[in-house]
Amino acid sequence: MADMRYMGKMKNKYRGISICLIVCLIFLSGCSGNSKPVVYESTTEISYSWWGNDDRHRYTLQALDIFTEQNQGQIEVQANYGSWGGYENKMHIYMRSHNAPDVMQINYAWLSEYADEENGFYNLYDLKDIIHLENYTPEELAYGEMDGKLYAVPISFNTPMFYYNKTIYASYGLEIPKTWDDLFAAAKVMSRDGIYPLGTTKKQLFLMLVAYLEQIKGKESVKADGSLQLTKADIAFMLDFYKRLIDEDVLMPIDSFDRNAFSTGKAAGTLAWISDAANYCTPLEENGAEVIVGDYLQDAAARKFGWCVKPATMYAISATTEYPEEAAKLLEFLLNSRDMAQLQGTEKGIPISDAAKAALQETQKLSGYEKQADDMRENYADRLEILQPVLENESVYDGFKVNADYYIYDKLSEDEVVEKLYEAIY
Amino acid sequence: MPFNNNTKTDIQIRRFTFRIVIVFLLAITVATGTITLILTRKSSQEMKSKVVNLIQANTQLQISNLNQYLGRIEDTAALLFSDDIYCEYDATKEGQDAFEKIQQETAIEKRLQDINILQNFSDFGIVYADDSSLGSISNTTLELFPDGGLYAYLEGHITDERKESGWFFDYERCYDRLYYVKRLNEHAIIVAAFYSRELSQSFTDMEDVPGMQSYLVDSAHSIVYAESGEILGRNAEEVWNDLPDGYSNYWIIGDKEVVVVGTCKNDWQVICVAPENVLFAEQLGITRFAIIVYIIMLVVAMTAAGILYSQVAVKDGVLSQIRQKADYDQLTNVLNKQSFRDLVDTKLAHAGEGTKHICMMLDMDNFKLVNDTYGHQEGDKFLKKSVVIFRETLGTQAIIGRMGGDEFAVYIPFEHEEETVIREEVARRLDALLDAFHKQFDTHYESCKVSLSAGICLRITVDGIKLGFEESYQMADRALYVSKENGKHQYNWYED
Repeated sequence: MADMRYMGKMKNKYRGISICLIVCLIFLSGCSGNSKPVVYESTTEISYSWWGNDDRHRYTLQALDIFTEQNQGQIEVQANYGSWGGYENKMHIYMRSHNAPDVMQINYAWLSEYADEENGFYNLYDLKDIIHLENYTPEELAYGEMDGKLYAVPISFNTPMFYYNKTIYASYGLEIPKTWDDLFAAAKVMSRDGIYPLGTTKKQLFLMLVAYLEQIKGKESVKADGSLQLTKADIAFMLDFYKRLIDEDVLMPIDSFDRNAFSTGKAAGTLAWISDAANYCTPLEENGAEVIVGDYLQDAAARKFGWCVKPATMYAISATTEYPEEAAKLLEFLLNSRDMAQLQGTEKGIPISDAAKAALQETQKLSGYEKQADDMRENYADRLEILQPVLENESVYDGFKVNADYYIYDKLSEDEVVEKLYEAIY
Repeated sequence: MPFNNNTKTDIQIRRFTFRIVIVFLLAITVATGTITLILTRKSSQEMKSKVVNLIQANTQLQISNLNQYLGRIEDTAALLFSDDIYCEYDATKEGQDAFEKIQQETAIEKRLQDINILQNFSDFGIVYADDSSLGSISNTTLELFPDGGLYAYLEGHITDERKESGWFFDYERCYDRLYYVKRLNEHAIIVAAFYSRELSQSFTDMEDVPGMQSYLVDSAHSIVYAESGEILGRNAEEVWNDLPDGYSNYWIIGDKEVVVVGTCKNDWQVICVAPENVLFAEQLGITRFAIIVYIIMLVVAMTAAGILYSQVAVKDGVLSQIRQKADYDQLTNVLNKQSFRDLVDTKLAHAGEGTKHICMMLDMDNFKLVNDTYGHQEGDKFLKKSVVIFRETLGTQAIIGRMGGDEFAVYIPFEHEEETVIREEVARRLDALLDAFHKQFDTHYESCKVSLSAGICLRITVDGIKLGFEESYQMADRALYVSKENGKHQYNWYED
């Protein structure tokens, strides 16, 4: 019996030791070997593409950082940006290669060009739970609609607008031009000092010549189906007017004009988009001149108003996007967020979005040259027609300018140039 | 089996056991501590080495990214040399036909747009000697020199004479972009600029290392790129003292930061800075873990030592058995002669003042006859039974030893009793012993006439004088001799 008890005691001792050792081993194995997998939080990367100038690049990049931060770093945005020059070709490459960025700033003209394509734009109505479209009226959204689908949302309205260096005009005792004749009259006195009453870019030149054509001839330059309906006689008419503007020193040679020409007083006026108002006017103001937004130029015998309005730029989502929800979040941020509105201000024009507008009103940022220009647009709202996308087609306006140079610089006869032009724009 | 715990062997065993346990514990403690320390240091060094290697690898990856990025820009600019139309055109040439000039410039514009179409440039164009430009030269750049001088400024940054190109960053004039300039012809310079934040794609910091920062500094040590814009444009040498020249080693500055430096193809340098306390935060964890492991191992060792001790030292344990074999007579289970001598010697030597010691010698009378008549096995039984009687009659304080054959010795200490009382008590016990002995064996071994003789000596410790075993038992032995001489089966006290 004693032996049995002894054996029992020994068993208890060994059991105690075993338990103690097992507990230690479990503890040690638990501490030394980490069998849990290392999990990294996945980040979705989407891309956003835009064109613009330094200011736009700076605030947009800053805004994208805020967007990423607001999404706890789970959505990263790859930025693709550049200047306007060549951007249309870039867009063409994106769309044709089916390699478009997830979110794009697009031109109004591109909507009709790419929306029909299989890999064009995403129907934003499918993302209305994320994008607050109630900030827009149906009429405003209609600019981005095709066949009942919403392919793009307009950011602001844009129209060519005249900006003048009032100081120069006043120095010659001239009133701010209201008619084409006023410009020619101004050129007569300013040319003596090498100053041009007007300077502009080739796209604005083309739109201006179209406006003049429509005013004088009282005809539509674009058919109902959106295609051009410029006859050779119309082209010749525009060409003549262009040559007159150059020859009589009304218009600064297109290739010599840039923003600095306006800000340094070499050109006393310019025709530019509302969204470019501050770009042109602020440096001039900084140089001490008074800047004024002018009326749309008219001819005394005009049969038609001739000037057009369009959405400044639009936002669209690529139909090929793998991340429509993330893209929609970015779009909502760009269109309606307070942060983006504050950073963007009126750089792209007066925002259409009620939310963005309210954000700007709160901080009295709804002001400046864009506001003045937009007020001017509002004044003519009932007379302005919708700008037909074909008129913004680079091959059309660039083709016009490149070929017109042969006539402007007397390299070819007018007839020859009209023939070349006709071929180029059709 | 009753044992006495005070034999010399007992004491030696206790000392030995204690020493073994202490040595065991010390060995475990030292070994465990040393191993833990070595492993901790080794793992710490390994970790540091690996982390620094990782940062170095990361830095070199960043340099590779940067070289690729910068190379792409240089290649893009070089595309302008694809046709003489682009690279030989001189906008400053006098007397050019205006139309031809427009045609050429349009062609160059188109080329510029084509070659940079998928790049994120802030500026990409050509600046001519008269400060006119083609391409997309930003307003920021154009406004750097509103009164002229842009071309000369750009020309001044062509630092690589062989390639006729250069990279530069001018924080004072333009804080947010980096420029690449390359001579296109005698009167034209290609300008490519990009926002420095574009470099964030090249500077992919390790996400697992919070606080890690990468910087790009130009040849003049100005900080060209930093995640935090606050130090942009500052001189790197002001921010980090004693910057190293190569990147084969790492530097720990002020024991706070690990700094790794590498050089790009344009001689700009990438500086990777990581806070040491973050990098090696796990080291503290490892040390804590090692201490916990160390404590656990000690607990295990102590438990094992305790168990081991209990196994060898407890009653009925291994040592107990050894001790029993060493100290006790294996037949009768009383102390053997040597153990009895050691024990009694110790007790006599260390007894307190006035302690009385009864030393007794017992001898079987006619025991040889038992062996001769009944055999040795019966003799052994006889001895065993005798010892049982000794224990029953002599009291629990009696220490019994077998001195040899049929001769036994007994030692009984008395501390407080009077001498007369002791004598009476001892006499009473011996009477009982002799009586019991007689009753037990007289009839059983009748033919042998066995009996017991005893000699007793009473000694007292006085004046601290140590009493000796030999002397005491010689006295008892003399008394025994008297008993034997006087006819056996009796006891006698030793008398001087």
